[in-house]
Amino acid sequence: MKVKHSLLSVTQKALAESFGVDMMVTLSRILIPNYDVYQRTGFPENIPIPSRDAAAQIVRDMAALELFPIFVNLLIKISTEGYMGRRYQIHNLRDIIREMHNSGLVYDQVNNTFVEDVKIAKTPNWGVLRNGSDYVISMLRLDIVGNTELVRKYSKTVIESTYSDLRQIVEMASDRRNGRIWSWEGDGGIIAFYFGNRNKFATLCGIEIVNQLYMYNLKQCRLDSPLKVRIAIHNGACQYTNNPESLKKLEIVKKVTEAEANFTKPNTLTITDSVHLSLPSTLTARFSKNAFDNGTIYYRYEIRTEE
Amino acid sequence: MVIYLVSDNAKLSPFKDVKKDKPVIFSYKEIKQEYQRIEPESILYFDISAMKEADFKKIIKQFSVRKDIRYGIIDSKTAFADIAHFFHMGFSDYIGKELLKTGVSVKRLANIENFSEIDKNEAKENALSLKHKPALNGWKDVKSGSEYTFFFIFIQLDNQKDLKGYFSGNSFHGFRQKFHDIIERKTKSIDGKIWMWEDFGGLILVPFDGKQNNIIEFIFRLYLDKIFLYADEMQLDEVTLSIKTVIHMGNTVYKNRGNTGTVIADSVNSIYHIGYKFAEPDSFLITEEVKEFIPEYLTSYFIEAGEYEGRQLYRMRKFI
Repeated sequence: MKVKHSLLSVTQKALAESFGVDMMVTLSRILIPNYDVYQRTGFPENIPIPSRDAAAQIVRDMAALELFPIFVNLLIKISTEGYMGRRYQIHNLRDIIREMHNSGLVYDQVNNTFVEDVKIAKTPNWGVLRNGSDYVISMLRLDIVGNTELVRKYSKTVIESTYSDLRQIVEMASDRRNGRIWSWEGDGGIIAFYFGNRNKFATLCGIEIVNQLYMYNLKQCRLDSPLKVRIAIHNGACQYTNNPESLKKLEIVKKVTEAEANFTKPNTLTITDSVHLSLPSTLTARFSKNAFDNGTIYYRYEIRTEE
Repeated sequence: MVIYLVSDNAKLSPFKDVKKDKPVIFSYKEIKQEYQRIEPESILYFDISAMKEADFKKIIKQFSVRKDIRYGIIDSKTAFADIAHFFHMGFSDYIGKELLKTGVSVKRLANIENFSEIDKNEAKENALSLKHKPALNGWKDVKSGSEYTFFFIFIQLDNQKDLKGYFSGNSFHGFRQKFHDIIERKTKSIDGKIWMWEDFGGLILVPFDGKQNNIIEFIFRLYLDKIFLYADEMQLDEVTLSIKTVIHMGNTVYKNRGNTGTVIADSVNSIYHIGYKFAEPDSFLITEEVKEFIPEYLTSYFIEAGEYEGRQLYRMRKFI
């Protein structure tokens, strides 16, 4: 995230007016252990650093290390909860939040963090996830059934338009719930949900894809038989990576791929136990429980009509 | 196939051979007002013998918008040398002086029907318009106090007991208002307006604009996507929504919402009776009047649901 000068300036002012240098350093060390403001500013250790200089250096360093949104999250947290039992009033906090909005970030109340405004930008890391850091993600995996046969059977034009229609369905369902497509390889992909009620959002996204595809197959599919996909969702911790090859090696990706490939019927959605557990009963009521020989339990959503 | 003859000559009788379905005769003046009421898939003969060229051109321009009718020329003087010109303009028949003596045979009319194509979709839509009182531009044409053909959508939450138990006081009022607002917003996409509303549902009107429309698919989707309605849009975590819906089509005098106390219409009575007394919980019914509007790709989803007050009903198979 590129931090605008106006945002740096208002944050620097807020720090200088709200905290002493010691407290500024304490806050900085929550995000950057062993942060040394003397070394960073070049001031000799026997001379007190003016608040404004310390604040300016800290704010610049947070921006340079791409920690700025997290630092603002920290300020918001301290203004509402205090720190080590003491309350702090942070001046100009509203101005900081306004400037964050102007920079294309909106505050996510559920996760207490800033996230990019999808109307302005849509990057795979929502503008805030950092390479190598751990996050709990809800991951949706989608795969087109019988891709090789389809590609052999139909012309390039038919396949391209059909797959493009599918991608559009997936994107609409994902964008509506702030999901991000982390990988798309023509015959399927991976979508991540991090912000908000991530398991619910991922599940609603999966259901929407199943339902939309149902109508697509009824009304406009150009293939001789319905286009089929398998969808699965799993929730778990993973290290964020923007490298597609490293992504494949993540445990969460392996798990969701296994659920999709081995335990999902065409045009249905499978969710794992960890996702199911956190869903409201109005959603889980639409899933049927499936226990498999290997001891795993999955839950399935499918569209069925009475005979 | 209805045969029309446009002529000011009362003695002209080219269809002696046609015993059944006698031709409908209009004068040049009359046809200008009547062209919208010409039956689809009919054939319309113009007697051009006494017609001025300018008038002929005007009529042709007026009729060229209707692609669901076949046209023929009667030229009792055989004054036109270039007969093919008429066919190039889209006419399907030409009756000259000699043929007029023997008359147009039934077989000839049947040949024309086979030979000359018309726009079947337009024919279907125009047939519907003639049968009903459409508001061709939707709500823009609807005026309070006048009669129109409408689709009536009865919609009601039918798990009222569960809902009353789940919500308390003000939150229950808020929930019902939210349901009303969502239905109001969603039905705008099919040109629908809430006409009457009680605590748990009401009646929505969609003016019939003379065309096939997507009203059945709209309600079908409401059921398919009902999970989004309660779990996403209404944020209900513990109680779902059970909804019954009926679609009927018929006429009523339109009165503005809130001023409907004096409305007396068989259509309105019927849909309320079906909705309250016949429809089962969580079901979607349509009346026989609406059946022809089921899109082809959804026909297999509808099954006979019996008769009520002399009207055949069809029910959508439930999603389970």
